[in-house]
Amino acid sequence: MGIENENSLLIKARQGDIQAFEELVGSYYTKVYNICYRMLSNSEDASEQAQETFIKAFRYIKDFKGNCSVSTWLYRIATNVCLDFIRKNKNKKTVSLEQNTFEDLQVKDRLMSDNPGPEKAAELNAQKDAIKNALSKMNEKNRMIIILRDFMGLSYDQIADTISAPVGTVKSRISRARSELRDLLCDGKEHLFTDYVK
Amino acid sequence: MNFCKESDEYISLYIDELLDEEIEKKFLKHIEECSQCAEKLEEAAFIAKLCSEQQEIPLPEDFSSSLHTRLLQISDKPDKKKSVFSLYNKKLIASLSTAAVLVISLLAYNLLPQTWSHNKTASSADSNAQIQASSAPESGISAYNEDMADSNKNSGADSIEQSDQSGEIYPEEQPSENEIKKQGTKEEIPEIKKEKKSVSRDIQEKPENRIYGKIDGNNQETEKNNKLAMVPEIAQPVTEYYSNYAEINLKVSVKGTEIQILKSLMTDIGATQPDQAIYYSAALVPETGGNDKEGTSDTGDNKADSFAADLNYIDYYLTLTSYKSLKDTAANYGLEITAKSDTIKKDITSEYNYLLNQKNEISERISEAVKAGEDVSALQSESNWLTQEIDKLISEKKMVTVRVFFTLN
Repeated sequence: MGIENENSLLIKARQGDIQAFEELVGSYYTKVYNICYRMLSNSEDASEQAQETFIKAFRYIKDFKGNCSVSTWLYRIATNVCLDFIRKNKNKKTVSLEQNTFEDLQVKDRLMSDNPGPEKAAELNAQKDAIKNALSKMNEKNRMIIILRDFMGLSYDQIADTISAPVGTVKSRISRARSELRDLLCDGKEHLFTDYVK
Repeated sequence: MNFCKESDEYISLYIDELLDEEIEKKFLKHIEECSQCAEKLEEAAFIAKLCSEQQEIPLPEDFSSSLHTRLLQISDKPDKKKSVFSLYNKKLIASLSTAAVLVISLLAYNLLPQTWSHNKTASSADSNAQIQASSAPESGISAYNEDMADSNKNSGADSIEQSDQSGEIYPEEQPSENEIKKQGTKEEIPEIKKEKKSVSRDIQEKPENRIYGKIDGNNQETEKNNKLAMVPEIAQPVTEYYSNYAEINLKVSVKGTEIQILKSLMTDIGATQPDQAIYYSAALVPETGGNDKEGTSDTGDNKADSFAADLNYIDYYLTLTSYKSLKDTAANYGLEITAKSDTIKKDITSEYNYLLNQKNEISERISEAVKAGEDVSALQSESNWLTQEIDKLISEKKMVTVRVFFTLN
């Protein structure tokens, strides 16, 4: 989207134009949903909180001063929304693993259509489940960092803008997060990962 | 350069290709020699690759349409401002009624002779315990802990802890929002007088009965009793909300190893990096100029090729209790911390009131929607979020944002 077009949509959205707002942020629906899904491990919560992200963005678009990109701004809202949701529901222990969700089936369908072979499909699904399980056990701030860096592929500068922290802080947080994820995945799961790693 | 000790950091930077060429060469040489680090690197690189290769989760089919419906529901309606205004008027009337009841209760209390003895037991001033609240009441920012700066000049010792001696500055147990907490000076009284027109004369004539007495004593118990005895617990509007902010200096060596120790210390005491709320991102940290631009740091100044000492400062968010003992705790870690500034309070009552007004408006709309048999899930969700934000604001009093600056030894 060109900058001029984006600016014009932003002006209209600030005036309450829903169509302009949807055009401005529509291309980020999937990315924001993915952040929420990875953070919350649950498609229902992810959908709800992703929508909440855009509702808040629409409500507070007048406060968006344009000192960062629209994507960074949306990711910032999404991560805050998810962290707030996790904090609020910390006492409610829910089983985050889902069996045969819509996403699982979709992935399985894609795997079948690409004909990876049953062993490869099983391997991929096992890895996917292991990562999802490990993510759900991580400290939520470490989880957020891993999602932004390793899943979403944001640069250190983009992450620094998203979480409003210096790049130095981002570096140390990424290393801590990766260390935690490695401990969760590699300890006690020799049958799953050491076969692949070694 | 201790690759083994800081292997996590070096591995992470290597995976992201952020190591200097020279450091990278040394690191790879170390990897050849150290099997433990080599194994760590292999695992870390594999997991990072695995995560990056995970397929994007597809958006639910009804996401766009559902979001569109919700956006339509919350978009501005023509009579919205009017209803907010009428609601504000109702709140104002309710506040005035509450204040009138408060004053009448005060009068009733003062007519009881045995209560006079409580008012005369305030002890003499203790210079350390005096709150300089009169310094900037209009701006909503009050400076505390002048002793911290003074004791830095003397010995630097206990500068952070002295604030605790009065017991007034960082009350451990925050009273509920219905209790009057802030103790100001005479300047506070005119504001109250606006709401208690019929009895203002009594307040003037009986200084002992001031709701906001001077903090001239360290007899916290008596002061508290005075407060509680004189002022029955009634809600709003006099309760204020504020966030705390402080700056400290940490002495660091050229290598900057103290920074890593500081991070460990902060993790151990439960401090976090503050999440800047986007809706009032500047509300919690007063603008002191320099690097804080609405909570986003100037990344141009803070880029570093190594994670060591190019930082100007780091912000931490911790409880006031932890902050009080931070200097001692830091000493146990071999760190030398001194206060750079007084602890500053920023009044966030306006943000609180704004959220409360929003919540009351939503509650009204929910009632109307329920009567009309409409779906209230979106409104309820919004109300829940507002409640959370209000709770967060209320709890700000017990927390402090601390900016740690680094000064070379």
